[in-house]
Amino acid sequence: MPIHDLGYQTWEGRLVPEAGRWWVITQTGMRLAWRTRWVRRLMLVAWMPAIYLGAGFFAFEQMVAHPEIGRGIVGPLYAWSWQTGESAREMFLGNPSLARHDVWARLLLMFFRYPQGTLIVLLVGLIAPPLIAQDVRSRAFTLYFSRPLTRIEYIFGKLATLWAYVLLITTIPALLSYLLGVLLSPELNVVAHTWDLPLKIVAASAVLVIPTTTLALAISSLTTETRYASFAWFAVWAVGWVTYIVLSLTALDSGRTLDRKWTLVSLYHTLGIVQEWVFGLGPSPDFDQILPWAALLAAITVVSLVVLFRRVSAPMRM
Amino acid sequence: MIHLENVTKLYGSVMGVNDVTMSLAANAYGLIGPNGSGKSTLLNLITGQLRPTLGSLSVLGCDPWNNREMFRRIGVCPERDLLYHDVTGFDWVRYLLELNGYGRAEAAKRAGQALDQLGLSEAMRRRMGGYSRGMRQRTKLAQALAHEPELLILDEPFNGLDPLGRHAMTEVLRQWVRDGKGLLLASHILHEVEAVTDSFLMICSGRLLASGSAEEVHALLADVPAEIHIRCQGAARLARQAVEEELVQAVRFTDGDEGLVLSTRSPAAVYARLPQWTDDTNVRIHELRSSGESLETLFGSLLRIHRGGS
Repeated sequence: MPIHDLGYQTWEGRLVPEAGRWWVITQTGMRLAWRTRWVRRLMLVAWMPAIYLGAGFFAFEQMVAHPEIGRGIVGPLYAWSWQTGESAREMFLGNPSLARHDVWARLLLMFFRYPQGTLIVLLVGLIAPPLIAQDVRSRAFTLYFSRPLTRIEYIFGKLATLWAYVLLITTIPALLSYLLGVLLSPELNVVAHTWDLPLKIVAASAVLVIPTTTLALAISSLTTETRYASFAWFAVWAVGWVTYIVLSLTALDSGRTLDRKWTLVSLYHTLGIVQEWVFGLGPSPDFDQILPWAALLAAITVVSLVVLFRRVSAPMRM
Repeated sequence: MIHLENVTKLYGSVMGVNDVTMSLAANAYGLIGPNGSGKSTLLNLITGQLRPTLGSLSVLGCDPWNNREMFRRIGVCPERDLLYHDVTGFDWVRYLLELNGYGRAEAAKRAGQALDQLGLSEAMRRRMGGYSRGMRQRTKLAQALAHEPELLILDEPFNGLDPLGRHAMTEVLRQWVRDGKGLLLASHILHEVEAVTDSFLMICSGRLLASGSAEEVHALLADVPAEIHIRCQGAARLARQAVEEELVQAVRFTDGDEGLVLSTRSPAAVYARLPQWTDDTNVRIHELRSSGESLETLFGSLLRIHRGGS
């Protein structure tokens, strides 16, 4: 008589590779964030500046193709917009194709700096606060870490949720606008002039994304209340920004210019200094020139990561 | 299945688990202990959520701390509510299965099956914020068993369940045990565990006090006096009557002459005689209740034995 084994049978199917386990967290985080109406609205608004960026590339390329238009309208507008020196102005008006790299880099910097710089504060402020705070509140770590998932994968998955959204409104539109600019350019050598800009877009995105998202998640991990995390996130930006503006106005009032180092009080302005250097538009291409700002961003990233790992690694003591 | 060797867990100066040594073969076990006895700490050590301060342990032959291989083979249902309110039960269980490595389609299939098994087929597409306590408990259990682990670890799974929910969960766990899979079920209520398994581990103050079968536990309980709390006028007269008939082992007065606690090994006999006593002594009883804390009394006795008392 055959004896049948009716005991425990292990599943013989194929499991998803462990290296991609973080992606489950990211996907779910993205899906949950997308349910928020304000996130959807903000994403829509966040793509609008890309239209202006594309229009900027188009206008410049028209100036290159039709110098008479450039001299009449576009050229002075460019020269005025960036308050460039006389030589740059002459270069725009005389031989615009030579100024292409500088103009495109400035357009990209403006895109990263002003509309997107503000929009990511809002977007991350909407998405990040509940990401870890709700897991701390519900002690979901007990379930996460009783599964084949490491703390690093958990944190990476949560960070990648934020990265995905931020890259969708910064890097992707910037790269698409660059591509559009290349396609609209009447000159073939445009790629030779601007080949480094996509790399600079990626670098500027990294400068923007890494410290801000790790900071946002660290704040989220420090509380069980989403609203406190939101408040702390916006406070970090607002306090720094207002402090810098007040210092600038005070200096202006006393007839002097505020030393550049004071931008260190504001995360927004610190990011601006480093991004300006990334696009090659700073006072000097030497890294030493931005060392304090880069060091501050690195310190924010490292401290935030340490906080994150400590909070996530010791869930039972929370 | 589980092996602990002099395991101690300290939270600063507070002792969560105190020098526990045990070796459990593959089977179903009930971990019994009063609230705050160290059950959850012990389970957290076994599930790799905590590291022992001293000693060593192995679960399914491996060190549980950060051990992916072991996590794949266990299912955990923690005591606390861990659910996201704006997510459906189905999405949540599927998400946790995906974290276990199942592809989206397989995870969806298993999530549906597990929730269906626990009677949540209709509710699984609703957001968990609208679930009752019992539904949340069953959803938690569904995520623990959906990936068919070798060892299921449950911390107070019956909390908040109504009688029907308790019955349904008991049936699921009985079937689990009948299928020959491992189970470690923590509870502070003896009969809940007894309905599922007859192997007990008794823990109190972080120490493993005793282990054995249901019969052995009941034999221990038989020697533990039950307490009957009475609120009446003329408690002293009633106490005298009870002592004279030698049905009580101890008498304690509370609230002056209005409160009386009788300790007895024959509670049924006391209840049977009480009407006659009240007639004889002309005492009017306002309130009568049993303590229902016999298990805690048992743990008290076991602790005394461990400390060298009798």
